[in-house]
Amino acid sequence: MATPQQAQLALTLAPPPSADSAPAEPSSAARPSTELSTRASAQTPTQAPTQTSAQQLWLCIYFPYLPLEVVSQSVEAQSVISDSLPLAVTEEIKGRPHILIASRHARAAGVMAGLSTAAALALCPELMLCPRQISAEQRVLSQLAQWSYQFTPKLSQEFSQSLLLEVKSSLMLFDGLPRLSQRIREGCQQQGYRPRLSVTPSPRASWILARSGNNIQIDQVDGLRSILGQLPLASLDLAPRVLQRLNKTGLTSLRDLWRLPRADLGRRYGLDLLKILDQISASQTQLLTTFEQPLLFNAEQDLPIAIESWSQFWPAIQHLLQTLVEFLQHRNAATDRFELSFFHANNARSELIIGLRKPSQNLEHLCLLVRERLNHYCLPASVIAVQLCTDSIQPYQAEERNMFQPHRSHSSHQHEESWQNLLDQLQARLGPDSIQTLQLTDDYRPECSQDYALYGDTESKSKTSAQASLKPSSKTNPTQPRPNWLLPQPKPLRAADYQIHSQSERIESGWWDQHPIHRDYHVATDQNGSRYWVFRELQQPDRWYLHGLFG
Amino acid sequence: MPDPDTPSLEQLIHTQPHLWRGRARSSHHNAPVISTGFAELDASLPDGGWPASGLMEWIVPHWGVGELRLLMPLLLHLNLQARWCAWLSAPYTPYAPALVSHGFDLRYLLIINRINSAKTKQVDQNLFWSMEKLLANPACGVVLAWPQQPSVKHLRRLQSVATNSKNLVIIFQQQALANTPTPLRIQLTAENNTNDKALNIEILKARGSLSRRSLRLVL
Repeated sequence: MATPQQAQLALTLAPPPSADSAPAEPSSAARPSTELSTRASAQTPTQAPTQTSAQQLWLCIYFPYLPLEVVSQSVEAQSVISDSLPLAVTEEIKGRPHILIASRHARAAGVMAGLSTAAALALCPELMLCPRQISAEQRVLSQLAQWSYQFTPKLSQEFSQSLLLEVKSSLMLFDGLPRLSQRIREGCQQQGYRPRLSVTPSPRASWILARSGNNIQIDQVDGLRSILGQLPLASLDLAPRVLQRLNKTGLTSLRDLWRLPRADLGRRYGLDLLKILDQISASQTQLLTTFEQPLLFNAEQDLPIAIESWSQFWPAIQHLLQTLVEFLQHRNAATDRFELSFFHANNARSELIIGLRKPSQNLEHLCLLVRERLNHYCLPASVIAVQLCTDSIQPYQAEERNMFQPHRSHSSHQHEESWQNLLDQLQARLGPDSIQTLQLTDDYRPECSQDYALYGDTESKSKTSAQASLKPSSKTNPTQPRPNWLLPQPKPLRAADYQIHSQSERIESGWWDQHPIHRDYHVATDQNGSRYWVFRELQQPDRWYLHGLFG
Repeated sequence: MPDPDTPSLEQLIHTQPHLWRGRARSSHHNAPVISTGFAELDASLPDGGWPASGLMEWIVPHWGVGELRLLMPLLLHLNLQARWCAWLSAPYTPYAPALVSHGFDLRYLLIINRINSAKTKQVDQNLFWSMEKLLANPACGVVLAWPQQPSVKHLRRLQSVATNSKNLVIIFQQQALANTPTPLRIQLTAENNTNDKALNIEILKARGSLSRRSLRLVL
């Protein structure tokens, strides 16, 4: 979504005196391009008087080898290895496969982009050909976009094979452009993608520069045109027909185009060309579709070979968890439930759902839980890929600390946190419904007067909070004795073995639902000295049941 | 002429917690204790109450003689400290209205029952693993467990974990194991077919005392 705030680019290309005083006026940038072009055509570019630094700086991360890197991930674990393999990615042009990009080894054998596959195979018989995986590339780009979100909130995937980051507002935080670029470059390389970075005030110019093999940083609008002028027209993202016509006219570089009168250019080659030219020279703001953070996390990692034991691909899981934690931390969010899927070569995928009782963004804790679960999880077959996804993302609540009693509240918080972590760990090992607490419910029937709540189950808590409580009411705190132990189901017993002591307590209730009871309860003992809570049904006075023990 | 640097036997008894006089009550041995809530029982235990940390073994041949009522003052004491009380693989479900009528705070009750596995051995492994984890946590006050087949090795580990983390663990068993390392072992029985709520407590073993005592409490 483009907002008016994004459309604040300085009109440095010969603005009229009135616009000079307020170069960042959004309305001037939002004017239709025709008006701009006619106005600009009246003046020559050399007259541009202002030396203002740009309002925005767009850093383009272009991934020239992305198709190769994506494909080689499924061929090999590391893209680095792919350099030693003759590998090429093919794309269909007019229904026939052509080489799109080739690995270094293949390029050494003479395989170039644009060759037909037959020609490439003739040059390099051992060449491995893989069709381009566009959807996988998109997925990788989205993952990288999520990763880049840590550098700037303004992020776009408008141009192919690249990410555009508005970094002007982030320069202070990241110690200037060189360090920021360095960090981005290293981050991409760590994830296995070789980037090419260019920074200019115009997003399109950054992309064109990065795509044509330049690592250039320009933070002034007026330096832009002289650099761009040397670029061949082919590096512009023009329609093939327009490009052909321009080439036939003898125009080869951008400088050639800029020397021509704008109005005529527009008339001959269409307004789209002028629009692109204006966008390149940062004289017209381009409204970019900003990258929006999806509120779900999904990342996957392919394994180099099929692996049977999880401990051998634990680094892959750990990496996924780290990505998740970074994702959460950038959003100040936490997750309380995530799903780990394992893909097998022949079997259907197996899934492991890991629930937490309290949303967390702590990497150590998540790793511990996953390990605990995996320790007791039996993988049905060897694994070729791991996926981690979650859609349960909640705002992160940092722990509160008492300002006046820092030590006390700190330690009690630590206790609380370590207790919660412990329960998570127990739950992970023993099973999701192993940990319970008890609550009272307002009911006279003994079997209904308490409620098992799965500990930390917020849903059941809110559901029962209307009826359940921790404080006794008249119904749950009767005057007659109640046993400390209760049997889950009343058990028939032989009355002869027991001695009935107390007077009967009649409990008749529940006529309004499916389980009405009409019982006379007694205290009984046996020869071992145990005291029991027994009852008989009013309808069948000779049948006795055991319901509890006075432990 | 005795060496003045060598401590006398008298001094050693007063300084070393592992030395005590066989017949006398160890007066110097100030291990922290929690009152049992029953003066008679306090007087019979060597330290004057339940130990505040470590392992206890309660042998209850028949459930339902009053073992939970005997335990209740201890649980209420831990309630006041806002520490958790964990019940692991109990034979039945604790009945909340009865616990509340004794004054127990259900907020600190944790029940771990479905220790899921097909194999008994695995169940016990999971159980002892959970117990150790719980004991190591300072938020936990007492761990009550009803294990199937505790081995001497398990009990020794529990004793060490509980002592180190200053937590209390009580093992309930129907039959006594021979030669367990437990510092305090009691057996609870009741007389047959009476409704006087009396409980016979036999102190089978207590560290710091050689004699076996038994007493009768009306709860």
